[in-house]
Amino acid sequence: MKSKMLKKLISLFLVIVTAFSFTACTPTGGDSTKFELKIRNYGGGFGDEWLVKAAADFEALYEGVEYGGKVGVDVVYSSPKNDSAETDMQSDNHIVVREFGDIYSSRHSEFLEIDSVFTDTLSDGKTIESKLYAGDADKLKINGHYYAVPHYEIFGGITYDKGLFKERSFYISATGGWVNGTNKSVLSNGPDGVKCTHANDVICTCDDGLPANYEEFKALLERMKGNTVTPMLWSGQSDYYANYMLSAMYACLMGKDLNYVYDLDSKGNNITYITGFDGDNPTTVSEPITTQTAYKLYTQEEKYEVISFLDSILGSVGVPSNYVDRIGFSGTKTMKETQKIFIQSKRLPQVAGSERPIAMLVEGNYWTHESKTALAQEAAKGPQWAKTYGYMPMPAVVSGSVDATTGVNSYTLVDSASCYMVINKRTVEGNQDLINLAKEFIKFCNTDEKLQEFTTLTNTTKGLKYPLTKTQYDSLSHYGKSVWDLREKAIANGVIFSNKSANAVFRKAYSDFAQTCTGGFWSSGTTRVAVQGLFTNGQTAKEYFNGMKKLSAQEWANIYQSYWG
Amino acid sequence: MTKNRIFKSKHDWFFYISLMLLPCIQFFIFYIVVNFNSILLVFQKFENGKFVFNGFNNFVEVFTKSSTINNITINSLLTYGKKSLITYVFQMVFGFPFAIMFSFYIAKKYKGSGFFKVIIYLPHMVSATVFVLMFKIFSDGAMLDVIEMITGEKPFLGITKGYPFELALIYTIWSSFGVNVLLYTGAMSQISDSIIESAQLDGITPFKEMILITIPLIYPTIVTFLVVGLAGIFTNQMNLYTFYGEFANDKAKTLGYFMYATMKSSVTDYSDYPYLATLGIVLTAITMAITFGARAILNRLDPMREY
Repeated sequence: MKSKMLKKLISLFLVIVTAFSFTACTPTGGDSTKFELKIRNYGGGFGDEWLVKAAADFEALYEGVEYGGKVGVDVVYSSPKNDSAETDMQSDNHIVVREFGDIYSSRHSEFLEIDSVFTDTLSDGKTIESKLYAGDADKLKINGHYYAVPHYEIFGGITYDKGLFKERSFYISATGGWVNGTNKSVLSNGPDGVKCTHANDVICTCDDGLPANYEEFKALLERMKGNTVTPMLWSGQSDYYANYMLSAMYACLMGKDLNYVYDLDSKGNNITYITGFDGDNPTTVSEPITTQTAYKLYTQEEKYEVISFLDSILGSVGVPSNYVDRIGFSGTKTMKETQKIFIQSKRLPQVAGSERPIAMLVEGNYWTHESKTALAQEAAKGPQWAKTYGYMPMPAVVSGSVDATTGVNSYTLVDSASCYMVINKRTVEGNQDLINLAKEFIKFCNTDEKLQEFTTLTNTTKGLKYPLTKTQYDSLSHYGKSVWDLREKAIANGVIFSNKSANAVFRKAYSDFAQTCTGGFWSSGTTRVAVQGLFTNGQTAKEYFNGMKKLSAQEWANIYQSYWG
Repeated sequence: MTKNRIFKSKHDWFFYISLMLLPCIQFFIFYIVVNFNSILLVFQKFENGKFVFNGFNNFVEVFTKSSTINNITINSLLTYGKKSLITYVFQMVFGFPFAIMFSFYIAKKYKGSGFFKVIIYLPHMVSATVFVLMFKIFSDGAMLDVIEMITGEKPFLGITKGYPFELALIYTIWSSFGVNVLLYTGAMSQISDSIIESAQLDGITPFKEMILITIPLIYPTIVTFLVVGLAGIFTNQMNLYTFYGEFANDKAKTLGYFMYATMKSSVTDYSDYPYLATLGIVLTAITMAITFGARAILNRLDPMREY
């Protein structure tokens, strides 16, 4: 009797647990009297507040309006965090918003062609096509048609704690010393080589006093260590995030020349690539490349410079440099736990592995939105714990000085997200009302008003050009402002990039050249994470570089010849 | 001398065909058809946007030179193969004897056997992903604290990053323990009580009972386990994908993980498929030889063969 009761209780418990797991996956909405539009949104670091708002506003537009034989529209959305692109596209959702990676592969055949979405005039009087970055129209089109609208951008790189920089005098002065940054006139010009013109009492997003070359960067790390501060941190459980730093550094060394990589053509200009090593010193050749000879990009000198830099700041397992908190090397902390440790590291240094405040975090620019609760909780502890973070522009040169011309490269940003809004062809085909509604929703989400709303809600940006009003700009966090300002400079100087290309060979060799923290660009041998190779496995920069993928002229031609015509 | 005919009538033929049809169809569909493209890829290469005939060059690439898959070399493959073999050996040396002993304990219904049976099998009712997550948290949490208590210092890289192969190996042995125990216990329960009683009347000790009666009588089950284990030697990825996704450290990789993770990887493209397909075929050939050889040897060693 007792055992029967126990069995019943266990069964009931299992049923409840199962029911809970199903409930967790249930999308919101579901009013059968209205015309239904289903949306699947990747619910990672950017969350879904923007979608909640957009869905409500879109439904309001159709309130009481007859559409498709029903009255009103019901936007049903779900925002799972872990589903793959395959799962999302196989679902019954009509619109999918997620990081797709390579859209040039066969995947685009699952998307509905949406040329009209790009060319129709939106309610703000503009077209989506007119909001694309320079050159992006050709890069987005596949066989002459549009299939995907750019969504959020991820700019991976270094976030620095401006409060800690000021408190411990981590800013570089014009004379090479260390200052707290209060007096802007004594600061070095920073990575962009341009003097900040703001008054001393204005907290601005200028880069003055930040490292302008790799030597200054190393000096900064050493200064931090000497001042009982741990220089930097990344999530050890997701140590591929350290590749974000490599991509940011590489992009800023390249600047406008990054076009050569995305075009697989240097238009007659020289690129420098490594042909071998004389001892530990690379031997290089500088010459132009075309698509036919673009295999030389596999051994670009800038790649080696960045890997060498990372190698030089890591140390080894036996003798760690302590520039990076040990959390970055062990599997103990998730991304969000790492973010929290960074936020709390000054108040609660004992929670950090090194028991010291941490000055910099390697992450994507979405992280402050992802950890907004932790940031708010920290600020609630008292005004002294409120944080002022900034996105750190990377040096444009390895050594030597920069001027205003070369310094422009430090504005370079690469969006590694490849995040798009697409219409899932399979689920809408044959239903013109549904197709039209899905297109209208995408257009609605890309009006200036909605783009601005996205930015103010998330402190991040979408991959289109749009302005912010002063009020909207003022509502951003300081970190959000620093990313926005840098992005504006990048757009103005033509140094904003994403993993898009009009070159047919690039599209086929996507995984070799796309800038992502998990892709092939920074892989060596079968190691995808530079930190694992250089630190955990004790490889030298040369060994790691030599293990990176490279193709001979013949191999390159064998694989890609048919695509260059 | 009359010829020994297996099939004496049409009914016998019909019975034989009915019996063999399903496995043959299954083999045809789930091995030949499913893998047909892979078999073709062995003799192809990706060139000018399509797969073209490449003779036996893929075999040359597997055995001699480096592949375009991130410069994977024959040395890397040998290292991964070594890890696969070590895994099997450890499973045999540690997993197998303990499973037999524990199964015997449970089959004999010694004190607490029912409780142990539930405890051992309980993990298998939880999803592997959840269990791996718990294992990771335990390893980098409580385990590190214990190590610190004993040595006064935590390993710099922690357990999951510092000892990825060892961690996966322990997990693999431990996680397969429950299934092994359940099946061995099932086989042991089939042993006739009269044999055991007779031996006990002769004064047999429990240890001798296990060695001289139980193990010989469940030998076919043991052989099945050993042979199935050998057949999966190069496909066993030790749950590394569940532990580390695509980013397992090179130190931990087995051939099974390498094949699986490379195929799943976002950096793998069409030009890599022929190499992977060829490697798969080569490993299948090696596994077949080992498996059939081991099966023949083990069948010869069957202590009950004469009966």
